[in-house]
Amino acid sequence: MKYAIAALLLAPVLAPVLAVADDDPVPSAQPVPAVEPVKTAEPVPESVPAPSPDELAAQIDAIDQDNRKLARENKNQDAKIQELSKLKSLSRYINVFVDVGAFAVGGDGSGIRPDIGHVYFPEYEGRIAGQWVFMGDPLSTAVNSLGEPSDTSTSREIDRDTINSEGRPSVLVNTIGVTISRYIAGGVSVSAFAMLLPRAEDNLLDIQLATISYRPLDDKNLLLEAGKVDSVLGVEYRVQDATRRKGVIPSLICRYTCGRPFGVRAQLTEGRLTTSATLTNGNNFQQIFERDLMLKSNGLPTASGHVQWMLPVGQGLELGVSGAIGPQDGQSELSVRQWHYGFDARLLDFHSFDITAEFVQGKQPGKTESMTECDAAPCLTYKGAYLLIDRYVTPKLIPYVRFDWRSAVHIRGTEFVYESHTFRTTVGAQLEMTSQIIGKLEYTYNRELGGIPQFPDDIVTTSLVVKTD
Amino acid sequence: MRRRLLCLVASWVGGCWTEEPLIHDAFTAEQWAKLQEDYRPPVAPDPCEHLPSAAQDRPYDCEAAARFGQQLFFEPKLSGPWVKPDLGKPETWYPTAQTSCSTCHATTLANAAKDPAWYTDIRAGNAVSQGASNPTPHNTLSLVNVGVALAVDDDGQEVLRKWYGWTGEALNADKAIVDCNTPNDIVNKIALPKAMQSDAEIVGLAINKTPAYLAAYRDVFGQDAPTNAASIQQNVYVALGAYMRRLVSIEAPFDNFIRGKADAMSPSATRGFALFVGKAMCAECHRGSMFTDDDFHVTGVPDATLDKGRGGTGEFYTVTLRNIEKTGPYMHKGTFMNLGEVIDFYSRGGGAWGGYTGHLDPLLQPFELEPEEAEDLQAFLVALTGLAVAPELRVDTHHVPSVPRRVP
Repeated sequence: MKYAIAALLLAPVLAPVLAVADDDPVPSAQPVPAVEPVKTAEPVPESVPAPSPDELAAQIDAIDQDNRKLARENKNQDAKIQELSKLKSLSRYINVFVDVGAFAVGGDGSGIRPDIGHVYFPEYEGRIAGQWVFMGDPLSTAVNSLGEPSDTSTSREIDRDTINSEGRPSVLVNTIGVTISRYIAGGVSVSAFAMLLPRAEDNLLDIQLATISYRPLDDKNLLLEAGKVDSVLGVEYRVQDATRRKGVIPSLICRYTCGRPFGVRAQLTEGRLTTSATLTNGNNFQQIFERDLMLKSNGLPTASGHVQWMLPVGQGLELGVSGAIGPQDGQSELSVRQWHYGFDARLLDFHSFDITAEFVQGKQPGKTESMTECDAAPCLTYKGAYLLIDRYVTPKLIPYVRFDWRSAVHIRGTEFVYESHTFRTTVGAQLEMTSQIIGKLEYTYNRELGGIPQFPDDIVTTSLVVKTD
Repeated sequence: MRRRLLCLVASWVGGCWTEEPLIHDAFTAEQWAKLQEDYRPPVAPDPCEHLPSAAQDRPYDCEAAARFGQQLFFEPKLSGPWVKPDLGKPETWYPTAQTSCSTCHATTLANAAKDPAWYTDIRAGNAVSQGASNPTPHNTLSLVNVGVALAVDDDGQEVLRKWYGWTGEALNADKAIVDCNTPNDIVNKIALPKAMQSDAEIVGLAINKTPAYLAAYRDVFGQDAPTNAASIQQNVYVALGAYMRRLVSIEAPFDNFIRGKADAMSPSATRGFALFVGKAMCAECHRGSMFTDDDFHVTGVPDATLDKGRGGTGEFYTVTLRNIEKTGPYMHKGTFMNLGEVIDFYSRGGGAWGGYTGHLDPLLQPFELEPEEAEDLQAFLVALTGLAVAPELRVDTHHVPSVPRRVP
């Protein structure tokens, strides 16, 4: 086969030479009589003198050299074809995508404002400086699927202002994603997902997933994983990456359910029931802004679980409940336990509609070591929900609307408090130009609740995802 | 809805999202209203209010008391210490009479030509005076606005300072720590006994030996000076208080700005105010009409002597920022010579160089300040400079005995 390919590749090159060679009645390896004239297919014009024996010998030498050269090239081509054949199999387990977007966010690009003068939250006066009483949600001005806010302003909790737009519209390479996965043998496979984030101050490499998977049973749909694994909470984590997400930006509660912690994970599907569980180093919070907590150890792992029942409505109505409990991250006392629970529902392809809804609630009780409450570990209470409705108008065009809400209070000693009470409405459309090119455009209206003044932080963002798989 | 759609279309143009217009590009209406309330311009004090009672509660002429107080403010004869006479002279001690209030709290004649309006010690090489924790020297505090109330409550009553001096305390005769809650306490417990090394007897002597002061005393209190030195000293406090309550400098550009006159301050100073109450967090301590929380904090000012401050905690008083441009050097040790150094110090979170007593106040945290922001902040501080103290109050009126003309 390879010789056939080589022949095809080399045909244009070899054709003239082969033509000459085929016409040559004398094999190049045989000696040519010095005195006999060379017979040609056509009579030699009388005006052209017959070549001398020396000239013929020179021509034969030249042809001989060309043959040797072609033989070498042929050999090289064979080697290249073999290399290409080896590389061709790689495309089966390496996939790449690039997500490019443009965005504009109101105000200074951030989703928080300080309560200067303790006007709106006077209960913190004398305890936390007004500049550090933050109103709003620092991640509510996310502009891409990672949830990166366009600006973090003077946030004290999120010290990595990766985009730092300061309210200016901008174009951004949101993500360069590389997925590697390969089946090894005996039900074992490995996979990894890395993201490259080109940013102004610091190009980031974020290893999102790195798992060894094992399917031990042939007759059961049981999957065991170890490494940096997916969360099991809710449903949004399954579609959080740009290639899978409907829409551009994550919901306000994705930060609690879309993390990819280190640990072990198991998932078993029996008929309509799917059960998932993890034991992980820490919670399931997104960690892109908390790298120092990625390898945290709390002495005991965090246990998380999700149970889902599928009902025969449309293409399936998934109803799920999930929860997590474990020592609070960022401190070493085992008795300080964080907890989380949530409900989720997803209706697939019901009269061309997909509907997804989630509710979560959780608490980190914090730890106090001095006179100031929550000084050793922050206190966090949160609850939130979202409803996403999308419809396949055509197989390629998917308009969608999402309502999401989050109410949370996050305090660390005298350092900061976030009073986050936000309701958002997102409308957008997704156009799948081909199976490998997806365009998205959406507008998000941020509405502050809980007595927080309205400030400009609405978002227009786009995303163009091109992927190889 | 139409507006939202327009915003969608015009998003790249920007500026569609302003749900609530920001005042001075920084504050919501509610925040601005609270700032206007919190930083309401101060009111010039009634010069005859809140003065200590005269001896035997006798009524006195407040105006005449202020004039008398001005004379005494510049009068070095009120100071000690007692010294032995030279050999060959009568065996009586006498006060050295070298130090007046104005020695530390008024510009010298040499500096008067530069800026005579500000009563503070700005003499090079003498940035500190004997202070509350004698012998620990402290930077001399300005007496301008010392009588201005922190605020006026809803009933029209003045809210006075609770503390005076860098530490709000002094040592009494028994070396016990006592609070300084009035200006009178400062004079009685620190200024006279410590800085001027004086006592009631010296004060009585200064009055009784000076006919001009005896006459002034009579004008003020309606009677001759008594032989009781303690009574004279009490009435001297009355006179000094009546004078110092007139040392007022308010109506700074900021006061008009906070009343609502937007152009009363430069754009730079306006931005500086937003920083002052915002990112720089100066307002957490320097708040209110007089820009002080009337409290004590450990700010971590480097101090080779490890001054222990109030009660040994390392805390020092939050001084007013009014006229701060005129009252350098700064901090309790006079460590920083200009406002730029002070801003740099606080932007590093205070205490950056170590060498201080106590635990740094948690309110002090580093913050990033661009060079232009530092300039804005400084411009705002300069905008706290009020109208100069009345010229007639800056005149040294203390009695100078005339030199007898030599008869040829």
